[in-house]
Amino acid sequence: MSLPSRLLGANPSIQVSTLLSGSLSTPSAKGAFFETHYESISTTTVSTEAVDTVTFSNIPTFYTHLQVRILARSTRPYGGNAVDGLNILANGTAFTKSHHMLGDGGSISAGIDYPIIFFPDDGAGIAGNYGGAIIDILDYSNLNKNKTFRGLAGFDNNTSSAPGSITLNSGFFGTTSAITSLTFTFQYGGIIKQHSQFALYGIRG
Amino acid sequence: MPSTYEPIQTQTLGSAASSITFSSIPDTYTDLVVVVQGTYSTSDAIISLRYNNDTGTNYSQTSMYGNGSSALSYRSIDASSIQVGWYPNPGGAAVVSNMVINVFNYSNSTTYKTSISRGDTTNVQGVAVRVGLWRNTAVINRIDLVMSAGNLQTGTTATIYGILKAA
Repeated sequence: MSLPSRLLGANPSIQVSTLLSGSLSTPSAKGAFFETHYESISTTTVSTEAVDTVTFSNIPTFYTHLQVRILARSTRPYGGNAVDGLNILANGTAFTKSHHMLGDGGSISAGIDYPIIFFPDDGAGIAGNYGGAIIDILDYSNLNKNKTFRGLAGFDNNTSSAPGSITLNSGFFGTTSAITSLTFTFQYGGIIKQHSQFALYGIRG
Repeated sequence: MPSTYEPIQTQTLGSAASSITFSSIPDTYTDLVVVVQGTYSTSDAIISLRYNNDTGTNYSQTSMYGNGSSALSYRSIDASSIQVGWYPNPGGAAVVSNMVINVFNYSNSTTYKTSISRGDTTNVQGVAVRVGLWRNTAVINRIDLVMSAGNLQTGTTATIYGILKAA
């Protein structure tokens, strides 16, 4: 929302049709201007299907935590499970260890050192379907701690069997260096589908 | 860096209601986050969401759920909404329920819409994560949170936030 709209009172046109009683508050009711501690750092939106990697470099170190919000799909044509695995590298190095717990609509499994996050590919399923992921990288600039992340990711394909999954992820990066770059790359050979988006945010402490 | 993650609107129920609607959602953000903290007492009630008042069978979801003794995963296809909360309530007690729903790229008109949600019940049973799909490329300008039975109780709150990506 642009600054002028904030100063004028955010979202003055929003409508509520089913609130029979109770209270309704909008930002303008709380104050004309909102300053949050969650800031947009950088975004990559894929306009041309040409690469299998997205990198955020020169990440500033003055935030406390990072969050990456991803909506993506792979062009990998393989039918099979119709998924591609997105790996995460910090400072050019893969995370030392990762775990995940995955529900596929029929059962739950757990894994270690698998591709970090699964996204749909072009091998099967719905063409316009992109998977989502939210990755939190905690205390990424602290020079006394090894680095960890947690993730929540998934996609659904409106099919009664695979593909489609919801996944809890964790990762460990055995270094106390500040993370100044993050790389996301599909590891099964697919490139990143047009309209995929990777958005990096910083959270102040 | 531009500040974002802004509250768009909060609703607090002054009396029981079977649904909560956010309409005329501005299309000026990238993602939406809906945070719900509510109470209901109906056994086996399901809380679901719909977009743009679409009641067709254009939704699906995959869920992973734990109830303290077992874990399961289930899926719904060709559904008329996306579950974001489902809590069996064998004891009949009021269920305190929390939900955080992330809707990705709601304002683009090129991709189907994906959501990821987490729902917990603090006093009865269950924690769940879910991914939902709406097979529609339309910009989302309305979100309905709908009970399958019974009502959300007085005091239930729902807040919608907008997150804007960097240019």
